Amino acid sequence: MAKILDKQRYKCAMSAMQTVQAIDRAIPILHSGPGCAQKLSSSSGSSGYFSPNIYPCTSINEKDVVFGGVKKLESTIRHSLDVIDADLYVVLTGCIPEIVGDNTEEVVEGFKDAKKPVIYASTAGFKGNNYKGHEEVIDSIVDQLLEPSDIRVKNLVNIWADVPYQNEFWHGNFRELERLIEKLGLVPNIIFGYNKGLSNVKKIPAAQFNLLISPWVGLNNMKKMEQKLKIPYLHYPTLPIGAFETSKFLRTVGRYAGVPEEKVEAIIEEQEAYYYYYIERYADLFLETRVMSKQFTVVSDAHYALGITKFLVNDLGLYPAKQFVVDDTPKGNQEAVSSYFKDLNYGIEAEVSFETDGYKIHNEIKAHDYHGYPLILGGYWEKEVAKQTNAHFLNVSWPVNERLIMNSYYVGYDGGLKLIEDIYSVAKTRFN
Amino acid sequence: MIETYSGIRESRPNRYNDLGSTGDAAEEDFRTGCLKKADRSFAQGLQCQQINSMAALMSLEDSVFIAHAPQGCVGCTSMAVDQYRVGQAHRGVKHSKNPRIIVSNLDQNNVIFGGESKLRKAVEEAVKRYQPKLIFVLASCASGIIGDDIDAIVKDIQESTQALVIPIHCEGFKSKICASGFDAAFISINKYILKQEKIKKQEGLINLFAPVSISYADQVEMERMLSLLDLKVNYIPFYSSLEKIKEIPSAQASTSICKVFADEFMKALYEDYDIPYSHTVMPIGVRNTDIWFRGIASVVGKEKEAEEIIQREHERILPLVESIKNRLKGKRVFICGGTGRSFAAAALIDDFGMELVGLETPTYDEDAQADIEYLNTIHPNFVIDIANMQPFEQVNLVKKLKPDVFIGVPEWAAKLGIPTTHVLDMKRPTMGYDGLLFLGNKIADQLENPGFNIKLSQHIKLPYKDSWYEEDAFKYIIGGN
Repeated sequence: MAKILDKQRYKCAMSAMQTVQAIDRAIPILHSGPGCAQKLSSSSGSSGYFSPNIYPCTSINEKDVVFGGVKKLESTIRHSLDVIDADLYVVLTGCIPEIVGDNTEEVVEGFKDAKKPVIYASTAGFKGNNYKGHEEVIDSIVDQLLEPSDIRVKNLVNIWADVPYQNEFWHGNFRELERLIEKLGLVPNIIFGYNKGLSNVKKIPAAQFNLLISPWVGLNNMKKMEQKLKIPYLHYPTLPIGAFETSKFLRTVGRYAGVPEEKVEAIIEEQEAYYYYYIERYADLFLETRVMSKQFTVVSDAHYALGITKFLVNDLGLYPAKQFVVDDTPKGNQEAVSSYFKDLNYGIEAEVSFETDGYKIHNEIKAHDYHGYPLILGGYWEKEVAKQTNAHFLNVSWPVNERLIMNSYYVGYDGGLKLIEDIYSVAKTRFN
Repeated sequence: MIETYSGIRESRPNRYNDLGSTGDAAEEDFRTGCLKKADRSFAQGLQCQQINSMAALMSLEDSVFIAHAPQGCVGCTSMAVDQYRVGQAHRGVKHSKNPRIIVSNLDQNNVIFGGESKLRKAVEEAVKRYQPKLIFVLASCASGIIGDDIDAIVKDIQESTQALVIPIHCEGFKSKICASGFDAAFISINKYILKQEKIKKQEGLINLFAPVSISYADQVEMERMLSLLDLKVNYIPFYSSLEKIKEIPSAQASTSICKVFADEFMKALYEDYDIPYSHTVMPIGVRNTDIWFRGIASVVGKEKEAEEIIQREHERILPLVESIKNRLKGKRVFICGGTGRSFAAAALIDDFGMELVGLETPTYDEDAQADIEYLNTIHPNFVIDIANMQPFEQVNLVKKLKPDVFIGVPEWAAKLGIPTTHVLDMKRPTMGYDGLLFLGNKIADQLENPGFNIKLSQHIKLPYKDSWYEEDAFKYIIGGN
């Protein structure tokens, strides 16, 4: 795990409470100290049907530390079932109960006959960050809620991509991925976001395959589901942004799912024509912008860093300076993730640094010659270094401040146009 | 010898966190000693004291914050960054800086073998990277339970470190009252910076203690008011510095903008450095602003001047208040807020002729009793919920009481279609005579177009079972009276 963190880019495993919250009508019950919900809540759009202040919490005190908090946990779960109107209750354990050794599993077992399912996930902050916590929650759902299905629904595809709330475009991205998959004639199944919820969770075992769009987060879940539910998976590492990657994505998924090639190519032709209609109209702007260098840096988790790098190189014709992957990618995944960054058009390879320390990242950015005003896409922390380096700055990764993202997205053809809009809306502030 | 205060607010006698009552009953029960410590068998998430320790010190110049904690304990930094940068922008700082926040990132190994080496590394890096004057080391639940002795580690590090390294004991599980974190910060400031050293007094210098939640506009208003008394302000600790903190013992007197901020510290300053202080109310609304102003004036012997100023301010303000009153009088109000703000807001609504029907606030103690005694003389029959948030109790009460206006954390009342106004505005004015006008107009504007909240309530449902609204809101408070 990462060393000390300066300018932190993620939260702890318990932040997977947001993964739970992203499943409609699923609520986390926190078995933790008093401040965890509050501390881990800072992402935009978290005041939905449930919000961190609504989450039941045992708020462990000094006495519980000494005598254990299981009694308090039991009463908190029991009353949650009485008071809160939810479809799924997910107990998440924080640092304290895991250090003092509360037997959460046993308490949760006691609710196996409850009217609504109660499950638990181990999400102590010292065990990992929220990318790992997200995987823990999905694993818990697979382990404790799902059974192998006798039926396979043809063309039904489970889609896994963004980590909800940590990736602020998660909602829109999922919806656009859904639309793309539908275009291929497949039936998408997503458990996060509007109008999904437990009914979609229950559909998971019947899917023909799992589609994971992410460099590494979720791979463990895919393997678990392959093993337990016998669902094969297609791993597409790159979040498809813009025409080049989206067309490649459609071809890959189409081939895997057995969609006729002519059908896929017809879709791509139509979409690219539409996409380039817009690109052409604004090509003068892109070609004549003198206030932005060709070089860019993304500071983000592997998911967005890879997706955005590919888009800016392959579609927009920019050139990658060093890219910083800040999600504490496990050692075992780093080589594969690096290799994805080397697979760019015209033999271009992007250098990647797996670095969680913001201080070092900023020093490297300051030391690099971008041949003009740099373009930096990153977390809010980068606003400071952008100012120091005269860079154009777009806040795309956590923490996200000073911009509102409701249902917009960077995925797909339209998503690429949206990202261009955002970048040039920043660049254009320099025109005068 | 007075017993050393631990910084845990509930360690003070007669302070209660869990209570459901009415204004009259609470006053009576407190007076007769009938209130007892209670607990909740079901509760929703709180705010922990580590957040408050961090918030209290965040904007100090040349400082680094090290959370000796697993990685989630600084999960709220994005909020902190925003606050700090906005504060700088309001103060005209051209190149806004980020706060320097490092987390030692305790992991599974450290939980078993201790996190000392990580803390040492974090301090070392803090020095190397930022050459700060101050390094604050904030304890966490995990560091506390695994038994890392941060005092001893810091003492050892200090010997070879030029920057002042200051441990703060703000382990979350130790207190349910997040304001304890303020006390923890001040205890450390006294112990590690001021060190009982007496320095030369500066006539007319006032320590004005203010938490992060006070906007710059409010700072300016408070400073303006005190300057009318020819007093100079040492505004602490928000956007101040080590030098300004070192000046604290030279002040003629102290006061605070918030009731639960530096109240214990001002006592310590009195005991250790003979600095008298005024601990009254939060200066929101005409009455409270008068009380607050008279309080500090009397400590420095300027009662007469204060009365003249108050009269002048009233002549200026009251006609304007009258015009707001015409828009607001007779409206029934439910208030939810922190200890200082909620009572201040309750007093404020009197300026506008509004009626209090419910009050939710985190603690009941002697200070609260004084406010409640006053409120009981104006408002005949209001409900009290002593709760740190607990929105499930709040919506149960709000749904039954059907107020016309809700003042405080707005999310849930808004979903019931009730017009809401936030009283905790960290970025705009609230305090003093001018803040009153801003706040009053804001409430009235909101009331005159309740459309957003009503539409919202028509399209969404709060996340509680219908049966919950039939229950007693205080059902899960166990023990007590």
